[in-house]
Amino acid sequence: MTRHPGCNVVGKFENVTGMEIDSTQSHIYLISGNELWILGGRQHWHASFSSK
Amino acid sequence: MLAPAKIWTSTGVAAAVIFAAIWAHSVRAEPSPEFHVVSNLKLPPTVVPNDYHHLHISQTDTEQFLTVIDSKNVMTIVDVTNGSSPTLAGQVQLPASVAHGDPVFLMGGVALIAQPESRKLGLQRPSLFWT
Repeated sequence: MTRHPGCNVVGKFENVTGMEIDSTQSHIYLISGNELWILGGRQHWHASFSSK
Repeated sequence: MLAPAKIWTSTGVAAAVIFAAIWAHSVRAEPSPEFHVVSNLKLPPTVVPNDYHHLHISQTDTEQFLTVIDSKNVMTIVDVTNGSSPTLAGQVQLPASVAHGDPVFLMGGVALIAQPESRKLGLQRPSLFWT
């Protein structure tokens, strides 16, 4: 990913078994092990990838 | 036929135009998105480690829920209406007749399990009360 312009990997989640993006594309929901993580963007952004 | 000087000049101009276009594009490019952790919630441990899957979002005009299912067919429901403060809404044991990965919709405290057309046998899937 670091080869893509503007991408900078600063961390990772392990044992991710699920990921979804809400309909407003304002949050990413991750299931990592027994934890739910909610990620958001500092700026308005549009997710352009699929969790499938 | 072009003289070598003219060839070099035109090549130089073309290169300058290309570099200028690249520079202009980089200046106009939108700032890269940055992500940060809004919140996290520890879910009840599953019998089998790392067993939560089939994450699904259900939302109405005013509420938003996440559901995950484990291999024991236990559905865990998280209220994420307030993204900065997710709360565990409940856990229900799904009937064995509910297949793994069936889409789940939460409406007014009732979990509805959708049944794919291919598996319909003329029976209506029951609603599951979880509140």
